[in-house]
Amino acid sequence: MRSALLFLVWLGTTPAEQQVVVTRPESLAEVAQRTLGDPKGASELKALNGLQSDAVPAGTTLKLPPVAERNKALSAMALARNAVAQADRNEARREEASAKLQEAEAQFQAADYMAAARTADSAWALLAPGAGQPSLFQVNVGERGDTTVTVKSGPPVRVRAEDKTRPINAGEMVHVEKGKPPPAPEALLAPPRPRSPQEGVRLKFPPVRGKLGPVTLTWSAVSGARQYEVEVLPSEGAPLRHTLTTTQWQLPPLPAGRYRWSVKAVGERQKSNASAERLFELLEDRVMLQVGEPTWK
Amino acid sequence: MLFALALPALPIGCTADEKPSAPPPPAPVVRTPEPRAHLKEVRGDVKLKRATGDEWLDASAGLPLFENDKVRTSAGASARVIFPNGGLVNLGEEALIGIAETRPRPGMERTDLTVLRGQVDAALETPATQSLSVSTPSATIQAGREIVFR
Repeated sequence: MRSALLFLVWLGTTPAEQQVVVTRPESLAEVAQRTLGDPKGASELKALNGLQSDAVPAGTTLKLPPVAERNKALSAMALARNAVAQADRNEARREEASAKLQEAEAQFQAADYMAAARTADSAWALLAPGAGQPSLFQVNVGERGDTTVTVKSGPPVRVRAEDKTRPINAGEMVHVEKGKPPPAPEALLAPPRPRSPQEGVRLKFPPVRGKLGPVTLTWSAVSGARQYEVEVLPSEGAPLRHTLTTTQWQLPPLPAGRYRWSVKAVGERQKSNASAERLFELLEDRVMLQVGEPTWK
Repeated sequence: MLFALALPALPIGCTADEKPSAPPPPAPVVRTPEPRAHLKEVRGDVKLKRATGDEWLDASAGLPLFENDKVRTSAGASARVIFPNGGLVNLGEEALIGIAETRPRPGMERTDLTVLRGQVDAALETPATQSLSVSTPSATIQAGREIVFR
């Protein structure tokens, strides 16, 4: 009796398996096109039904993929593909994410949708903007139920209202009015490209009161940027930070040493990611001053 | 042997002629619901209303929060709500939040917390492995993993 009840409970919680009956001889690709809307789904049907051939005799009953699981896997793979496509080609984790994405696609073709979703999700997590940083965000609900979301750091936060979802990146703020979808995102601010000094350059200056310089940092202008935030990290000591409206910054004289710097574009309601880092080194230019007796009398 | 075993079942002072009263039914097994979060760092006037009650009670640090419980902060007050997956939410002053249900209603998305009024600051230390979902009267905010496998 108890087993029968458990069986009924199991039946109630297990989604009904979707099936299709092939009514005329057709290829798996044709069945996939008809049922999944994609002829490439043939390999999934083949794996799911343990078939050896691509030809399906009329009257064959084929199991169809579980829709929710398949959609979840498709969504995870789309996100991962997008993240890989947008990743910096030099980023070390891009290769790892790309390999994971391929693995996810193979799992999908083998109709192992949950494994595919998990693998694609881990690929996405490797490359998501802000991955590795804590996610900090603020939610403010006003008197009329309006919501303001501000993302301070970490990967994008997703805001959903009225069946519309949009990501909010770090440094961005979105206001959602009750009964309305979130406002369309502004075009993402691209990070500026550092121009000078060149990567790894060694700059020599005669020391003035123990300091060297000045060095001028320059970078490309970014459309939509109102300001630029520059950060200079010395190998020792405190970083220098400055926000300015121009695309160059003349640094104050600095001690000899190695410096890394990057710049972010700041728009009205968002901030770009930091640019690629540049390195320069300041060296003392030891000019030998010959002070001696003049040759003339 | 059976008699010896039956002896302790007889009520004390019961004579052989007296019919022993039926043993009390076993106490029903009360399943303690799993807390969905805990309250920490309570400062100032912070009140808690249990889903099972109508009264606003004084809240204190360490209290477990169950689904549909509500927490309210007054002017100058604050509190922190910690979720089992490590996500934390700091309630600012004059905020009102509700702890979401474990199982969402049909057509509703799964959330952890509902902010009905005021401001909260949320944090996920490792968003690659954690997630936090906050609903408000006008939106649902999801942070952390895009797809969460539980």
